[in-house]
Amino acid sequence: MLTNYLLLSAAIFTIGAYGVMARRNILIMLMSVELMLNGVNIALMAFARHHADPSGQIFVLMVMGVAAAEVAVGLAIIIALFRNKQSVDTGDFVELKG
Amino acid sequence: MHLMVYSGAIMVLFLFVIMLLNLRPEEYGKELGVGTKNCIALLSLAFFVLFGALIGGIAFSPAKDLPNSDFGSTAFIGKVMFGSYVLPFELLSLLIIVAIIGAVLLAKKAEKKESKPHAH
Repeated sequence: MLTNYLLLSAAIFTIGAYGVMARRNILIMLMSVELMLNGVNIALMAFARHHADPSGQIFVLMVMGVAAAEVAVGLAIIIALFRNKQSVDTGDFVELKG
Repeated sequence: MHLMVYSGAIMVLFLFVIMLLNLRPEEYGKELGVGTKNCIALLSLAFFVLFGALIGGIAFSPAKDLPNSDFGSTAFIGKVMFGSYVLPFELLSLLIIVAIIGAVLLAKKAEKKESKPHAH
């Protein structure tokens, strides 16, 4: 039973990793990072149930809070980037100079 | 909890930004070619097969019995979170405040400074 949950977590994580690697739209890459975080959450919950330890569930809550904060800041960065470069293609963000 | 955070907050933020940017289809960005995407898909599949072999190969001990009947309930998680894990909880609230301030600052429009005559 635990292996089924872990395989599901691995599948979701792999799909998220494919999304980050293969897409060039910065919004889609951010969504794929969120997918990876969700996959890790499933694995944490499965282990928390397996060892009957609530620490895993608390960790999941912390990860969700951090993911929400990260999405907020990431989207603000995307908005600022779009204002400067007028593009959401990561191929255009090649210079360090603003 | 998961539903509230993800569909209520994160997806709403995403929709806000997508509608704010208002991209036309030709502005989406040039995607990678089909060959490159297939190579990356093959790589991800190999990654997943490696994960699966690792997961299937470990002999996990049988699942422990739950110590009490309200294991995953809100009351029990609240007791643990405000009991032993209150420090990460407070630090998480600090992190959220910092993220709010940072997000508002980053997304502000630059103020246009007009030179006004100083009145002494």
